[in-house]
Amino acid sequence: MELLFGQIINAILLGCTYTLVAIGFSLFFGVMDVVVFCAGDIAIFGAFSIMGAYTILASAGIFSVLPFTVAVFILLLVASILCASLGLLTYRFSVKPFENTSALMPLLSTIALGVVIKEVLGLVFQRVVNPLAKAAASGGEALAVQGGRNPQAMPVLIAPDGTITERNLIIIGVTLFLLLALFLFLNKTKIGLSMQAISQNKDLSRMIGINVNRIVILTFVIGGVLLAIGGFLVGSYNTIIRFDNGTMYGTKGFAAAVVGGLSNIYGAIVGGMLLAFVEVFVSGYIPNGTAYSSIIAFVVVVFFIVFKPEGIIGEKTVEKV
Amino acid sequence: MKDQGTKPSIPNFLYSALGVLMINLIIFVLLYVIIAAEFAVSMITLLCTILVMLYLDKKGLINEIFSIFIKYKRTALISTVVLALIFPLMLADKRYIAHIAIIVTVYGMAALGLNFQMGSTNMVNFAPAAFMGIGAYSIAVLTAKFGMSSWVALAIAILTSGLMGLLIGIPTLRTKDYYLSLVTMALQLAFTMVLFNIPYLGGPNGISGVKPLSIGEFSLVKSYTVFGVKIAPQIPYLYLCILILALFIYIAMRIYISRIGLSLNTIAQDEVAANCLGINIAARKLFAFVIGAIFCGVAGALYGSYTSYVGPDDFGFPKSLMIICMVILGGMDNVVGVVTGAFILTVITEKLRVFSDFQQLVYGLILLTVLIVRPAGLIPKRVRNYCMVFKKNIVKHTQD
Amino acid sequence: MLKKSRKYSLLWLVVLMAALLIAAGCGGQDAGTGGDSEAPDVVKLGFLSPITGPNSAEGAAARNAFLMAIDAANASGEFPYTIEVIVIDDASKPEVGAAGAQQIVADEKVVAATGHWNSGVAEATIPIFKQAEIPLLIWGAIKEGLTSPENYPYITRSAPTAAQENEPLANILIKDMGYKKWFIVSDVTSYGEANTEVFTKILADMGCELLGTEKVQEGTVDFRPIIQKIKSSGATAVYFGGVVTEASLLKNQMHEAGMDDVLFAGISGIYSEDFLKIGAEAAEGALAIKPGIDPSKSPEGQKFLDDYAAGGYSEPVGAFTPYAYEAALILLNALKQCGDNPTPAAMVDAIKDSETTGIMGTTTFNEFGQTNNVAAYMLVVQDGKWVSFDESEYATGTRVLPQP
Repeated sequence: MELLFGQIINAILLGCTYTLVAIGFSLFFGVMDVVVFCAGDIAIFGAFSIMGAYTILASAGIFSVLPFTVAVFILLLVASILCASLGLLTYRFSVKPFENTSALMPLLSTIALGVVIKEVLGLVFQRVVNPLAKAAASGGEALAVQGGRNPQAMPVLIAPDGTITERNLIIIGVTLFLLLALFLFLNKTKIGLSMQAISQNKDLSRMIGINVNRIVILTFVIGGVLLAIGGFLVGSYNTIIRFDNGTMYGTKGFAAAVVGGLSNIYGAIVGGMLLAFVEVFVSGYIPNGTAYSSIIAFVVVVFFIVFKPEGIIGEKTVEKV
Repeated sequence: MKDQGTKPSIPNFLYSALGVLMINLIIFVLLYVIIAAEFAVSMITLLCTILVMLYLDKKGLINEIFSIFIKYKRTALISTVVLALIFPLMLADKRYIAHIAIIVTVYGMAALGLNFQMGSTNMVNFAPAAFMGIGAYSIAVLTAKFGMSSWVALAIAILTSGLMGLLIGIPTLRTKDYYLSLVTMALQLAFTMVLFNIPYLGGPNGISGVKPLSIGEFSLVKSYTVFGVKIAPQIPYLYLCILILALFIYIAMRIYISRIGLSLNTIAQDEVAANCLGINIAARKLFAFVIGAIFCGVAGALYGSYTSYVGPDDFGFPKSLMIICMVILGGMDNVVGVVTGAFILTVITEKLRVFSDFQQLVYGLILLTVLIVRPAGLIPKRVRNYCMVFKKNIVKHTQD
Repeated sequence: MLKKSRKYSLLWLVVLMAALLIAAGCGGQDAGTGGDSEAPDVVKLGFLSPITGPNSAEGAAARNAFLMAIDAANASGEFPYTIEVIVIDDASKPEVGAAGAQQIVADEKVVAATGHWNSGVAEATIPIFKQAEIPLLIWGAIKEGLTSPENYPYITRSAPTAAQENEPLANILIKDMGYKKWFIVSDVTSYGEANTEVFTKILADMGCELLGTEKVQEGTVDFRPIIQKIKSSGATAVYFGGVVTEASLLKNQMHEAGMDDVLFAGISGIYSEDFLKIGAEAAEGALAIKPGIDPSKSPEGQKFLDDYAAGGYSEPVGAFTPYAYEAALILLNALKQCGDNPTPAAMVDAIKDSETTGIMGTTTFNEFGQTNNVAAYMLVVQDGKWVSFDESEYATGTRVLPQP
C-alpha cells in the first residue's frame, strides 16, 4: 500500500514536470498553430539562467542583504526576462520567417534552434560560468556549481529548510496555479480572448481591430515566462539540470500535449499525467521495467496519435476542403 | 521573382560535348580538393563552391548546365563513369580520405532514401537512422551470428528494411503533418532504446565481427598490392559503394520522372486533389516509405559491413537529424542536390573532427540558416519539364 | 530577392552567430599533434580517448598523463628518435573512434597505439588495428571480451576487466561485512552492462539474494520510482554499476527518500569529484572500488601526482588517469626493447612479453594479453571527500555504515 501511494506521488510529480513543458506547446500551438519544438530547451535554459543568476547574485551577497523569498523572486524575474527574450528570438528566427510556408518548416526550424540552445548551454556554462563560480567560491561560501558539459547542481531554492514533502506540495501547487492562471487569462481578459480569436482566424481578427502582431509577440513572452517557471520547478525537483535534457522534455512535452489534445490547455495536464503514470508504473511494478518505461510511453503516444489524433479531450475537427 | 530578364549567359563553347567534359572535370577536381585537402584549403574551396553554385542558380545557369548534360547524354555518362572509376585510384594511398569517401556514399544513399518521403511527398520522417539501423543490424546478425554469406545477408537486409518501412508506414497513413512527425520521432527514439535493451543484439555493446562483403575469396575491405603499389584497404569497397550509389541515383531519377514521382509530388501539394485525380494515396505513401527504407537499409548494411561493428549509438535521433539536414541543405526533391548535401555535411563533419564539441551546434546553425535563407536548398528542385521528352529542342521553361 | 523579414532575420542570425562564436570560442582547442613527415628520426604513437563529449574529464586527464610521460621520455634523451603522439578524440562514439583509428593506422610512422575509455569504441576500433597489424594497448575500457585469443597478440590491456574490478569489492562487502540483500541499478551503456553482468554472477556465487535489477537510460534524472521499489524490496545494499552522474542522482534521491540506512556501493566509474559536488551531503557514506594501488602510497606514484599537479592541467586525476600514464610507460619500455628502428611487428612482440614496473606495480600480460596486475582498494565519502576506506573514520568505528 505504501508502495502504491509512493508511486502515485512520484507519478503526479513527474506528470507536473511534463505538464509544465506541455502547456508551452499548447499555448504556442493554440495561438500560432505552430509546434515550437524548442519549448523543452527554453525551459532548461530557464533553469540554467536561474542557476547562473544564483551564482552571480549569491557571490554579490544578495542572500545576506535581502530576505530569502525576495531574493528568489529576483532570481525568477531574471530568468523570466531571459526566457521571454529567448521566446522572442524563437519567434523572430524560427516562426516568423515561415508564416506563409508549409507548417513543417517551423517544426524543423525550432528543432534546429533547440539544438543550438542546447549546445550553447553546454558550451557557455563550461567556459564562462565555471570560472565565475570558482571566483565566487574563493571569496566566500562554496557554490555547488561545476564545470564541464556535465550536469549542474540546481541550488535549493524551494523550501530550503523544509521537508521534501513541503517542496513537492509547492511544486504541485504552483503547477496548478499556473494552469488556473492561464485559463483565467485566456478566458477572462481581453488579451487572452484576442489570442483565442487569432487562433480561430487570423485575418478576421485583424479586421476587427486586434493588433495581431502585438498579441503574437505577447504570446511568446508569456510562453517564455511560463517555461522559465517550469524550468525552475523541473530543475528543483530533479535537483540537477543537464543541458541535454531539453530534447527529452521537448519530446515528452510535445507528446503529452498531443495525447491530451494540442489545442486544449487542459490537454497538457491530462497528457502529461498519462505519460507520467505509464512511465512510473511500468518502472515501479515490472521487474527490470525501467529500461522499458520510455519505450512503452512512446508506444502509447503512437497508439493515441494513430487512433485518437484529436487527443483525449480535444475536439474532433473535420477537415474542410 | 528571380531571373528578371537576365539572359542565361553561358559561354557558347560549353554547349558541346567538350563543354560537358570540362564541367565534369571541374566538378571532379573540386570534389577531390574538398575531400582530400587539409582543413583550411578544403573549407575555403567548399565555401567558394557553394557561393558559385548559389550564383549560378540565381542566374538560372544550373538549369542550363542540366540541359546541356541532358542534350549530350552519352558524353556526360561516359565521362562520369570514367571519372568515377579514376576517383578511388587517386585515393589509393590515402586510407583516411578513402574512409571519408565511403561514409559520403553511405550517407548519400540514406539521404536519397529520406528524400522519397521528405522531398517528394512532404512527409517529414524523423526515423531515417532507424531504417539504417535495421539494415545494419540485419546484416550484422545474419553474418556474425548465423555465419551467412554477406551477399545473402545484404539481400535479406533489403527485405527486412523494406518490411520495416511498410510496418512503420501503415500507422502513419492515418496521420499527417505534425502528427506524422511525432509518430516517426517516437518510433526513432523507441528504436534506439529497444536496441539498448535486447541482449541478443548486444545491447549497448552492439555486434562486432560483421563480415565484410567479398567476391569469392576476394575480400572488399583488405589491403592489396597492385603493380607493386600497396593500396588502401578501403579502395575495393569504395568502388562497390560508388556503384551502388550510382544505381540508387539512377533509380531515384527514374522514379522522379515517372508517373509515380509525379503522383508523390501531387500528394505533397494537395492530398484531396490527388485523391480526386484517382491517385491511390495509401499505396503511393507506402511506396515512398518502403523504397526510402530500402535505400536507408542498404546504406546501413554497407556501413555495418564496412566498419565490421554496429552499435545502437550510431543510429540515434541525432543521426536522423543529420540526414534530414543533408536533404534540406542539398535541396528537397532534387536527386543531385540531396547527394550534394550529404557530401557537404559529411565532409564538414570529418574535417571538423577536432572541434567535435561544436559539431551539433554547427548542424543546428546550418539547418537554421538554410531554412531561413534558402529553404529550397542549395540546388532547388527543378521545374518539371516534360517537353524535352517529346521535342528534340530545348524549350525554355517558365519559372515558378 | 529575399523577403524583407527574411533579410532581417539573416542579419540577426549573423550577429547571433558572431556572438556565439565569441562566447563559445573563448577557450581555444589545440589540435592533435600533426607531424612533419620529412623528419627521418620520428616514431609515432597513437592515443585515443574521449576528449569531448560526456566523458571528457576522464579522457582529457588521461591524455594529459600520457603526454606527460612521453614528454619526459623525449626530454630524457634515452631514445635515438623523437616520439610523437597522434592524439585522437573519440568523443565516446564508436563511429568517431573508428574514423580516428583509420587516421592513426594511415600514418606509416605509427608503431603502436593505446586508448579507449569506452568499451563500445574499443569494439569498433579493434578490427581496424588488427587488420593494420598495429598493436593496441587498452588503458581504460573494462569489458571482458576485448582481450581474447582471437585478438591476441595485437590487443593487450593494462587495465583490469570488469570481473577483476568487481571481485575485490564483493569480497570486502559480502565476505567481510556481510551484506547479503542486494539491489542492482546500472545504466544501459556497455560499461554498466559489463558491471551488472559480472556482479550478478558474483552475487549468485556468493549465495546472496538479488532483489532486483534496474537499468536506466543515460540522461535519466528521475530515479524515484526505482527508489520506491528498492525500499519495498527490503534490500540492505544497492550496487550501482555505471558512471558518476546517474550514481550521484540516485544517491541524492535515496537520501531525499530517507534511505540512508541502505548501503550504496559503486564501481570506479563513480569515483569522481562530480559525485561529491552533485551529491553534496547526500553523498556521505557512499563506497567505491578503485582498481590499482593508491598512487599516493608509493614514491613513484606520489611523484606522478606531484608532476601532474605541477603541470597545471584543468582536469583532476581520475580513476584511470594513472593507467594511461602506466600505458605510456609500458609502450616506452617496449620501444626500448625494439632498439633503434621499432616496427609495429616488433612492438607487438615487445608489448606482449613486456614486464614494466611503474606507478601501479609490475604489469605483465597473460596468454590473452590481459594484465596480471590486479589490485584494488576501497574508498568512502567522508565529509564531502573521497577517503581511502582503511584510513577513514568508518574503518576505525567512529562512524558506522548502514547495518547489513
